[in-house]
Amino acid sequence: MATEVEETIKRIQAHKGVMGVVIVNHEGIPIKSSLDNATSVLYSGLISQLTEKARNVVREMDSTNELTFLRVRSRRHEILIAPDREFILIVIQNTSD
Amino acid sequence: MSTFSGYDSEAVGFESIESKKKPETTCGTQTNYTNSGVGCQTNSTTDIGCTASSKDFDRKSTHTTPPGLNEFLRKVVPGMMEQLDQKDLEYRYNSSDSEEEDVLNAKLFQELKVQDGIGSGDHQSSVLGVTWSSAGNSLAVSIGQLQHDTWCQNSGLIKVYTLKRSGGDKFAHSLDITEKNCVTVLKYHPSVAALLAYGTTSGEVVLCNLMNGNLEEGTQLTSPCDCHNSRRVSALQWADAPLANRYLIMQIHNNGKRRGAADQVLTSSGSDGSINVWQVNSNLKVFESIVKYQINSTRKTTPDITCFDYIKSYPLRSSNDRLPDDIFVVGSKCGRLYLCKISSESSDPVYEVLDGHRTCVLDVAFSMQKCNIFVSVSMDSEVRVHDVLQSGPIRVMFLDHPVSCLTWLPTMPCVVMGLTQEDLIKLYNVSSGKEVPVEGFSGNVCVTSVSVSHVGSCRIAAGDAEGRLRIWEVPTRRIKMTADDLDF
Repeated sequence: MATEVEETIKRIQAHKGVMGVVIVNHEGIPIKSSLDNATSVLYSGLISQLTEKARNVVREMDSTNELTFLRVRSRRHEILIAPDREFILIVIQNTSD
Repeated sequence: MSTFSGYDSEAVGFESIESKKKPETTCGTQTNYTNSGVGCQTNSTTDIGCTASSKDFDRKSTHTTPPGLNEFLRKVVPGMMEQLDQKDLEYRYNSSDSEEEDVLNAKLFQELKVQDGIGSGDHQSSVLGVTWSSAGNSLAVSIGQLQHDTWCQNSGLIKVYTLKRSGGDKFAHSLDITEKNCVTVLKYHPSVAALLAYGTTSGEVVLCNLMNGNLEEGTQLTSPCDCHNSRRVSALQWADAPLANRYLIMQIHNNGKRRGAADQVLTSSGSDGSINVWQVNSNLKVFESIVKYQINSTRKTTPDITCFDYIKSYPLRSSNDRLPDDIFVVGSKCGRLYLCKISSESSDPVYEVLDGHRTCVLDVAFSMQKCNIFVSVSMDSEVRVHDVLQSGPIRVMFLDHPVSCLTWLPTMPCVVMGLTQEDLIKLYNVSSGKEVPVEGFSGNVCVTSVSVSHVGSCRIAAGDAEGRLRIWEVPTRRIKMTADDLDF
């Protein structure tokens, strides 16, 4: 079972430009990560808050709608966020690649 | 023993008391019992250490996958891979980090036909002036005749448009202000949104308080008669707080009256060469002259003033940039520029005359970035950048397009110019002398007035000779500035 998760993370990690993969639970705690602990915790906390905010925005605009994906693009990286009810998948990609 | 007296008749008994003293000793004993306990505790510690390497871990046995995680990954990973594969070239071109030159796109927000058929004969009404309120949600537009052969015989009209959220965030006509003559210039107060001042062709300056969105009785104040010798009011400026303070203190010294908390200072210029500085207070119905200047009167040539501007004050200016903040510049019809100093005496404030342009100075404005720099533009499409510390211009630009008016962008050293022919508006970086490429200002009509609002997004309002008002949204924050751009 755990192998499937690990394999999936490896597959995403192998994609061009991907710098890290973090899976976060609904409490904002990283449960799987390819990054170091401190970075994982940082991303988890911040991205969880952002995702919740974005989710609320979509819901406020249209209660029948829901957030499916979020991209945060910055000068150096792009953070791709796939949220769900229980977990959030975060992928950090280098934009220069 | 008894004692016998010599006369014994009978023996009598008697008591005798005898005292004996003998020591006595009493003693007692008390036994105190005390119990004392003795406790003891034995602590034992055992240190156990171990080292383990990753190889020692049996992951299968130590990691437990949270329930639902596999399902979650099966659901989102395909979409994630798709997003990772997505070509992002289009994002790069739209990125603010792009090294390539961005062409800004001006989006036409709204076009209004403000002309309502006023005017005499075949003359078409034109937009004479446009001004934004400080909140950016109101526009005042004056309509009238651009040219007058003799006296103005037309009625003046100001149309006020207010942003209506219910109407899809568009400007809607909310108020009309009529005047006996054409309104040549108008200006909202830069911070008090309800105060609107305007000047007419007959030399009157009027203050309106539009607090309730309409013009109630008593909300209009007019300047004293003949303040500009019945000549056209050519320009108006509201004083910022430091300048207003300077003039109001001057007024206190002049007449000894206390100033009101809501007192404002308004400066008007006229074609007769005069500049009037007014103390105004719409609540207290105050419209009094503080000082009146007669430009260049000592040299006996009074100019036809077309424009003027005060130097901008910067309280946090570094000591290296210290400049007197009591300077203002006046532009004239003959092309000359007059550098003046604020004075409490009603006399000629001019201290230096610059040759300036060959033709009429259309507009003059001090920079908001560099306090000693001002820009003037003339009817012959010449833009001059001046430094008050120098006699000659520091830069002269000859434009390919004839210019009718200009205004600064509030946040950068760029000017917005209204043109008399095609491409209605142009943006110029005054520091580099280059045009800022902007697309979207299409049209083929003479722009007569331009005004910029920077509340929220940057909006440029331009009125033209055919009585139309156009409002564009321009992403001025995307204009790239370098450190050199702020250093003339």
